[in-house]
Amino acid sequence: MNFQFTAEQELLRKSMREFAETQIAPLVEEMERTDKMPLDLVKKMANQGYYGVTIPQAYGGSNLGHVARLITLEEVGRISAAVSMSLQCLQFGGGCLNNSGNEAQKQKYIPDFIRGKNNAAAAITEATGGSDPSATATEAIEHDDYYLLNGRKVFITNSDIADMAIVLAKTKDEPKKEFSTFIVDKSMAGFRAGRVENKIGFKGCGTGELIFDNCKVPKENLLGKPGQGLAIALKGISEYGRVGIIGVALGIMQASYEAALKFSRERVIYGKPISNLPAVYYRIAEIYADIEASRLLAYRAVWLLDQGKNADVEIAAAKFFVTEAALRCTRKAMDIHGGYGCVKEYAVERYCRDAQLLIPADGTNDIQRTVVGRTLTASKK
Amino acid sequence: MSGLQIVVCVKFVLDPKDISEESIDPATGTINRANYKLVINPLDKHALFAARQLQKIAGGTVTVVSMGPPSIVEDLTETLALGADKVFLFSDPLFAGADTLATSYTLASGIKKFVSSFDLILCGARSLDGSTAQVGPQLAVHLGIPWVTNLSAFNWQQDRFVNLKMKLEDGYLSFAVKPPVLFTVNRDINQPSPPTLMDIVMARSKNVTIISAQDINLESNRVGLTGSPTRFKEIFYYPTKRKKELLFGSPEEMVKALFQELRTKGMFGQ
Ligand SMILES: Cc1cc2nc3c(=O)[nH]c(=O)nc-3n(C[C@H](O)[C@H](O)[C@H](O)COP(=O)(O)OP(=O)(O)OC[C@H]3O[C@@H](n4cnc5c(N)ncnc54)[C@H](O)[C@@H]3O)c2cc1C
Repeated sequence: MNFQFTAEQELLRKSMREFAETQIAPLVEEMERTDKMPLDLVKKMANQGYYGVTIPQAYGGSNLGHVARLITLEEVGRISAAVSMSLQCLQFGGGCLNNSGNEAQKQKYIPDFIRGKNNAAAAITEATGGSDPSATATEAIEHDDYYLLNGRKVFITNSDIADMAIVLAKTKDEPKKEFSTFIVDKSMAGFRAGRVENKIGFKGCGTGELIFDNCKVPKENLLGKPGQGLAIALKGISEYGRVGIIGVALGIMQASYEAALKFSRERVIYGKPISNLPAVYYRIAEIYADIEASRLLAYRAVWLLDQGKNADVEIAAAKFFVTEAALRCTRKAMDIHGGYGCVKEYAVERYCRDAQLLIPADGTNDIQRTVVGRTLTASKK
Repeated sequence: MSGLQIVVCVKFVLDPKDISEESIDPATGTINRANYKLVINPLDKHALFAARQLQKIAGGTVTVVSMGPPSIVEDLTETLALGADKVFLFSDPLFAGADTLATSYTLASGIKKFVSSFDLILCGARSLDGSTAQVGPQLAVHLGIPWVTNLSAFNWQQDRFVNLKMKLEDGYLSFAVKPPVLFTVNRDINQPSPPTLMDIVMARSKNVTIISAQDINLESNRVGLTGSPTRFKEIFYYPTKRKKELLFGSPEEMVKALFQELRTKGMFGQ
């Protein structure tokens, strides 16, 4: 057993922290106000290579792996959950292409994606219920050399900055429903972004509709084989989406911890810092324990991915544990701040709003429990 | 010409973010270094970034040299990711306790031995901890080359450095100079960015070479504590106190009162 990050991973964390503190922190206030992602930042992150962290060098990635990806998201999330969320969803789009694309698709889309010229969204959820992708109503009707897509996706991260999307659509109704995934890009007429939601948190990270209105998608843009759509989407959701949310959550928790610690040492009442009050340091101890437990669950799950193992159950368990821990921790950090926790001058209220969004994203925590519980009870052990 | 041979001197210092009054042992006035993370001296990072930018224009090689304990080998990987092609760590128990004179002598001897023909030596203008600003100029003297300190800018053109902007208290001096030369740089010179992920990958194929006193031809009485004429008399924590004063009245009156107060404190000269 070895609980140490490698020297390279430590260096990665250090450089991510430096980037987040110098390049992202100064933008947070404006993002909170305007709810817009600064496009400059998207470009800068591309130049730093942050989109290609799990992608082979042949396509311009660094192939540092899933542990490294979690480090990038945690460090960005410590400064801005919104930027971390945006980043993780871009990595998700790119990851699907890399997991399931053929050589021609990879050559065509991935290098530009990594350079920040091809922002990729993952478009699965519809109004029929994110928890039930088999209710997907977006249809792709096969024609000679293209599919005709019609439908509307909702709650799609980066809908406002996406140049392309990995789209789940129904390709057959009878005798049995069949789903396929497609690469749809802005050059295809009939593909556009719709309204953007006004969320309580992740301010600056757009979440909105993607609309397919008689959108002609060439057959060569079918991702994987016909009928593999759900499998491709679920693999992406697990290995990229859920892991991504976990990364954002770890960042928020660390930020809450630091804020709580700092405030408790600086706030003096009864002539002493409040960090001397058991009610305060108990909360700090609990936050600490939650972070440690979360990191162990999370990094072990992605370590399994780097070993080439399936980690769906570990990831689902980590997703619900870590996101709920994040919510607990942000609440405790707010409590420690007293009234100051409820004013926008202190970042803890932002952490708390952001943490709630972790719960439904990439599968609600009920769905995570379903994944874990069903798997455990189905096994014969 | 096959580009410029650029040497960057890098020192590792305690991360100022971790240091507070409690870090200092009141009995000895010292900080137990083992308890703290080290970071590249901030201005040395600017120097390294300048070297990398220069290399992009002029080609050549960037060599980092550092003197310190063997434990900083791993920290030095960061300089590889930040663009160093080669890194030499001068490390030997004999070098311990060096002041600026012994440090610059050691660095000079190492550079002479391991970087045969250099064009430019780059240093940060000062280190965050010692803040003497002496090592750069002393190193130039040991190497017998000219030096320009506290640069805010410089360019390379054909065979010389041009548009050197040496920052003074009340302006700049401008120079052009031919290599070999030593520059020390301040923070205006550039805005270093952290290594990219590919930089981190590229660092894998490069490594840090540890050099001991024996590997360098040097006079052993000129290194480490023995070679250091500087003696510390006392180290203590200098407390700074914040004072709070409330001003009342209309905005105009408050501004007036504020300026009056600042003037009596000597903020605007006489
Ligand atoms: C910030 C954010 C970003 C998102 N980004 C994306 C994106 O980039 N791409 C994308 O495709 N989607 C995205 N989503 C959508 C997300 O995946 C869905 O919100 C999620 O799957 C839940 O779907 P729903 O909102 O329709 O809720 P529903 O599915 O309607 O669920 C409603 C409630 O019923 C419960 N429930 C449903 N089924 C079960 C069950 N079987 N057992 C127990 N309880 C159940 C749920 O837990 C929940 O409490 C994002 C969501 C958010 C909040």
